[in-house]
Amino acid sequence: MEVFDANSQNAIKVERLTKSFGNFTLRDVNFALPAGSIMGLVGENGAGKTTLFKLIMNVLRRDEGEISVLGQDNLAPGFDALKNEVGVVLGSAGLPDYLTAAQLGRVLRLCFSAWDDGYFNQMLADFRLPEDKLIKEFSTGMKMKIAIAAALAHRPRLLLLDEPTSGLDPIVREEILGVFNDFTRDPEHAILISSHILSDLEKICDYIAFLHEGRLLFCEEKDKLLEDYALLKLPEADFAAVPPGAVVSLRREPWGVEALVKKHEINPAFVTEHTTLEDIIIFWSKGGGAQ
Amino acid sequence: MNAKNGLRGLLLKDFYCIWRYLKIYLLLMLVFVLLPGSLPMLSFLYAVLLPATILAYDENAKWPELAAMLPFSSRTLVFGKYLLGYIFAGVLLALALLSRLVYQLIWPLLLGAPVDNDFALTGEFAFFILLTCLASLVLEALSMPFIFRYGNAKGRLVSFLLFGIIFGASLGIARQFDITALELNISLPVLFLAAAAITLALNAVSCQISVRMYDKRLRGA
Amino acid sequence: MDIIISNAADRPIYEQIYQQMKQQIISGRLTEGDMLPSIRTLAKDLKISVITTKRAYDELEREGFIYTVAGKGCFVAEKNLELVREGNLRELEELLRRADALAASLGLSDEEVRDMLRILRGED
Repeated sequence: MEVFDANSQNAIKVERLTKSFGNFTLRDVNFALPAGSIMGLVGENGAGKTTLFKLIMNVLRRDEGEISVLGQDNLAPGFDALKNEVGVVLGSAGLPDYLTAAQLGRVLRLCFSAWDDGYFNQMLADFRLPEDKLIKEFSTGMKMKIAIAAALAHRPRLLLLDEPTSGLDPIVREEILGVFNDFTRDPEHAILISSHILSDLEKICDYIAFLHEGRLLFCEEKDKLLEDYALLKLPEADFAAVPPGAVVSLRREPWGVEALVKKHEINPAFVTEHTTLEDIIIFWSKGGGAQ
Repeated sequence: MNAKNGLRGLLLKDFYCIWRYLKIYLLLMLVFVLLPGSLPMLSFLYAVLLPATILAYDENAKWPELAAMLPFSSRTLVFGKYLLGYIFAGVLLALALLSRLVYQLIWPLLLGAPVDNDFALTGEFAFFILLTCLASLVLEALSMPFIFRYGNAKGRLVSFLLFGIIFGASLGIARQFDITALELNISLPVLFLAAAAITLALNAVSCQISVRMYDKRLRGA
Repeated sequence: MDIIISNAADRPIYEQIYQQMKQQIISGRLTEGDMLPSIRTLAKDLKISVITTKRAYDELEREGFIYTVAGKGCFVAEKNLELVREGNLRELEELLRRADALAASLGLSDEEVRDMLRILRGED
């Protein structure tokens, strides 16, 4: 009944990670992404998500702490070769747009040791991407799809996806999320994905990590978050009966109070509503840090 | 092994870029290298500018950020651009010499007269073109760190200024001294070897600096 | 095996899987020795978390509805009527607990709750 094989490693393990540059500091970040799972990375712009991706790939060198990727320290000499097993999609950064899809395949085949031409062409067909059109002439959705095909075609074990669904329409997003879901059918595969579209993360993630102003506010199993927290809407007068310790944060509205509460710490007689990841993140970023 | 294949991949990408956007450059280089006198020099100047131009297209697509995730070091990424310059310089050198050889052979057949001195494969021309080639590599070594640090637009401006100063200075020096007098003291092979050694050393140092500049710029991004 | 997950439902997802699988075992749609999909396959097919799916399987295994053969997979266990009864009793207990909490919040006496039950059953 093993899902996460006892001797399987963490795809990513980050301990006491600290990095400062300019006036930004990422402080004491700790988390582990078990092989076989998908972790969503949430946070406002400037919270440090892209910085974290760069630190994991050692594009940025950490100041303090430990990072291991697929069981190897990312400062170890063999790490450059290990990058063969990591697929990266940066929503903000692109492939050379003066290439056609076919040319890109020929270039990347030389760059990765395990590049799979058949798989790449299969994905081009599945995504309905033309082989001989310049990438710069692709639509936003097509550009993202080719970036994903390029990240998958070298058969990585770990995918790092920074905003891979931003700017895409719901149908394309659904298609792409399906690809990520299928990628983790292999228990050795794992994904770290950041997105502003929290409903996307709610759909596919096993874990959610929340970065806020350079700190990791929480890293928790997604369904546990959704089970542990609830929305409570009450008239102002009735709200006094809610134990303050159970309230993450609250919002006063003309009709009363809306609060995110820890479901198991309030009287079950209160009628609560099912929360979404979006509710949890919004309420946490307003007051969660103080808890 | 990885780095070697990686270099091939990066070069292929750069050649696709040249083919897509810079065919006119290629044509000009080809034409100038076949022209008489000292005009082939212009081809080498274009060759020096080529890596920076491609870098501009890459930066436009924000490729360097993604390239940093590839399974090789920034050393490979940086060296790839130098290598591109070397390849072009090498090919131009070969073309320049080869074309002179062809002129020398074909001219009498077509015109019934010995080849015009401007088109001939003289020792003087070989000397000139070899020095030009080395000079172009020196220029590349001098400009690349700026390009990697400041990007194409600003970096090129800085390196042009630098070229200007160097040219001006060397012209000034040339006027001050009688070069032919200097030549007498040094044999040609020694001069070439020394020039080649200096070029090589400059490029090695330049490449090291460029790697640092590249990392710095990437980290700021 | 049919499992339908509702994200809007107030019930946690692991409980939805647990309940539906248990129901199919009790009703006989899944019979002894049937092989269940692997946790990962089921999770990915349903597009839900692997951890949540594992939790449902763990719960079913703990209650004796399924068993695991290492390296082979999960299978439906021999139907133990005693166990089924026990499971149902536990569910009844849970429902009553919720009913009781609700009754308390309404300020109903035990007598009134009993009356309601009698009316529901159609007794006089």
